[in-house]
Amino acid sequence: MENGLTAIGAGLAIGLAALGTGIAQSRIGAAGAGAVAEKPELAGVIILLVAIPETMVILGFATAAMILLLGG
Amino acid sequence: MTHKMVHLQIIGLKADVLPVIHTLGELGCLHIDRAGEDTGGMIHPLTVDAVLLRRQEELNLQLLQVSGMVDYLRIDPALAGLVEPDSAGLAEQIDQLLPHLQALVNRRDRLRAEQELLPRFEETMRKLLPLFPATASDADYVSFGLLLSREHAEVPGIIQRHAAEITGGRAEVTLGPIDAATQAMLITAPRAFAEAIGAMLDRQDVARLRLPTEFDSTSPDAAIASLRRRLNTVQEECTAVERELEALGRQYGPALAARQSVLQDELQTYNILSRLGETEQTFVVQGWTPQADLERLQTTLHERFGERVIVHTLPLTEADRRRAPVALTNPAVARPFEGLVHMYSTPRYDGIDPTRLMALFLPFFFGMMLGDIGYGAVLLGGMLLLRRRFKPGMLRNLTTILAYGAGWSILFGLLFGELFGPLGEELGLHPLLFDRASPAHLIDLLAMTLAVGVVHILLGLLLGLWEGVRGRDRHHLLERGGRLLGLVALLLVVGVLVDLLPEGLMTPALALLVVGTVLLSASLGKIGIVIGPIEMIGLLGNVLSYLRIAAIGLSSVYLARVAGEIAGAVGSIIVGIIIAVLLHVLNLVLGAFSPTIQSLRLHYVEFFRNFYEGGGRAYEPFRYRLATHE
Repeated sequence: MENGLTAIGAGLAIGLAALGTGIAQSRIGAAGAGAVAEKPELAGVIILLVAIPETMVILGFATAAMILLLGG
Repeated sequence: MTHKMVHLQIIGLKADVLPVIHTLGELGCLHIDRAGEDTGGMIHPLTVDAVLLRRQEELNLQLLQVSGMVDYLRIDPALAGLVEPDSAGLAEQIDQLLPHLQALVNRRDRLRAEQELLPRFEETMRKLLPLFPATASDADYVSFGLLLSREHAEVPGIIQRHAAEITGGRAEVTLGPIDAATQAMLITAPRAFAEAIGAMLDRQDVARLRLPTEFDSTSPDAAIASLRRRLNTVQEECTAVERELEALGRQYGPALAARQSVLQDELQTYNILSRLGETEQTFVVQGWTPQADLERLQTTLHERFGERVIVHTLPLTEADRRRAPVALTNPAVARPFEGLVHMYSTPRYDGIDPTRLMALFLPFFFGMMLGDIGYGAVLLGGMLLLRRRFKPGMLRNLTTILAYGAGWSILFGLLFGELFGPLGEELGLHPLLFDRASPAHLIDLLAMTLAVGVVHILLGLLLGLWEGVRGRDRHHLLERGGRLLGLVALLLVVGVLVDLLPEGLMTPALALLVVGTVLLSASLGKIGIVIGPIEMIGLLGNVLSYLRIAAIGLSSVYLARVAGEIAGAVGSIIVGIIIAVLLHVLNLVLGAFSPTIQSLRLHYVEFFRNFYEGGGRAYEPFRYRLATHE
C-alpha cells in the first residue's frame, strides 16, 4: 500500500510538472513558429524560449527521484 | 577567438571607382560600411548618375530572366566554375535559348494541367453517361452538361422551366448524382436552340461542364474513348518535354550558372556604390578587413592603381571597437560549432568567443545523455557517411557535431556498460563506472550530473568575472562575483549537510551566501532587494537544470530496455527482431535529437548567461560569387 502511494506520488510529481511544461511550451512554440516565419534569424532565441519551461519537468523529475529514493 | 580587424578608408579618383570596387570584390576581404557617417559633413553619400541607374535596372531584368531559366532547368549554381564567364557568345547563347525554353515550359505546364483535368472530365462523363437520351448522339441535337449544388434544390426546376419555354417543350432534361454535394443536369435540345439555351444558362450563372473543344462535338461514348486516348498521349508528350528540358539543363547548365553569377556580381557592384562616399574629386570606401588580409589588400590596390588610390588605416576608437564586425577564427575541430554560437548571437568584437568551450562541452553532454556503445557506433557511422554527401555548410557541420557526440556516447557507453540497452549486460559487458539504470546508482548518476553542472556554471562565472575585470565593469563584477560566492556557499552547505565537510564550515558558508546575495542585489539597483534573493535561488535552479542529463539518459536506457523486453515477449523470433529494430531505431532518432536540443539549452540558458553577451555583427566581406566558385 505504502509503496503504491509512493509510486503514485512520484508519478504525480513528474506528470503534473510535464503537463505544465507542455502547456507552456505549446504557447511559446506557437508564438515562436510565427516569429521564426517572419524573422528566421530569431531561431536561436526561440529555441531558448521554448526550452525554458523544461526546467519545471526537470524539477519534477528531481522531486520524483527523491520521493522514490527517500520515501520508498 | 576573433580575428583582429583593421578599420580603413580607401580614397581614390572618381574615374577609378568601378575598377576599384571590382578589385575589392575579387579580393573578397573588405566588409564595407556606409562611408561619411562620422566625418562631420566632409564626405557625402556617392551620387549615382542616371546611366548607372539604367544599367542597374537592365541587370536586374537580365538576372530575373537568367534566374528563372536556372530554376526551370534545376541547375546547380556550383556549375558556374566550369566555364569561362567572359567566353564569347555566352550572353547571345542564353538570349537564343530563352524563347525556346519559354515555349517548352509553357507546353509542359499546359500538358500537366491537361493531365490533371482529363481524368476529372472522364469521371464526370462516366457519371453523366446514363443521363444521355438517345437523341444525344444525333448530329442535329446538342447537349449541355451542368453541375449543380444540392444546396439549392430549386435551381433544377427553374432551369427546366426556362429550357421548356425556349424550345417549346422540345428539350429533354435529365438529372443524376455526381457526389454528396453535387448533381449533374443534362439538357439535350435541337441544335437550333443552342445559342438561346447557352445564353439562358449564362444568365442563370450555373456551372457548365465544358469539355475541351476537340471532344465537344462527338457523342458521349466517343468523347470518353477519345479522352482516354488523349490521356495516354499527354503522358508521353509530357515525358518527352521533361527529357528535352533535362537535356537543355545539361547542355546549358554551366553557361547559365556562370551568367547568373556574372550578373549577380555586377549587380552587387552597383548596390555597393550606395554605401560609398564622395568629395568633389574623390570617392571614399570605408570598411573593415582582418589584420591578416591588410597587406594583400594594400599591395593589390597599389599594383593596379598606383598612387591614384590610397589605403588609409583609421585609429580604433572605443566606439569603433563596439561596432567592428566579428570574424571568428577557430581550429578546424571547433569550427562546426561557430554556427551554433551565431544562432544565439554573434560575439562582440572584444568579447569572449565561446565556440571552443562549446566544442568541448556540447558533445560531452550529448555523449553523457545517449551513453550507449551501440547507438553511438551506429550514429557515428551514419554521420560520417552523411558528412561526405553534404557540401560544406550547416548540414555538414551538424553531422560533424553529432559525430563528436557519438564518439563521447561510445565512451560513456563503456562507462555505463550499455550496448543497445541491456544487450551489453547479456553479452557479458560490465560497466566501468556504474550501471546508471540501476536504482542503487540513481544517486550516483544525479550527483555526477550535478557535479558536471557545477563545474560548467563555475567556469561560466569565472569567465564572466574576468570579462568584468577586463572591461572594468562594476555592474558585471558585482553580479557575477555575487553569483560565484553564492554558488561556492551552496557547495559548502551541501558538503556539510552530507557530512563531507566539517560542521564548523556551516556558519562561514552561510555568511558567504549572505555576502553573495548582497553583492548580487547591489548590482541590480533599487529592485535588487527583492530580485537579488530570487536570482540567487534561480542559481540553484540553474544547477538543478543539469539533472536533465540524467533524466534524458535514463529515458533512453528505459526505452532500449522496453525494446529488448517487448521483442523477447513476442513468440516469433522474426517478429521480435523486427519490433526490437524498430524500437531501437526510434530510440536512436530520439537519442540524436533530444540530447542535441538539451545540450544546446544548457549552453544558451545556463552557461552563456554567466559571461556571454553577444550582440556583435558578423563580418560579411564584399565578395564576388565567381571568385568563390573558382
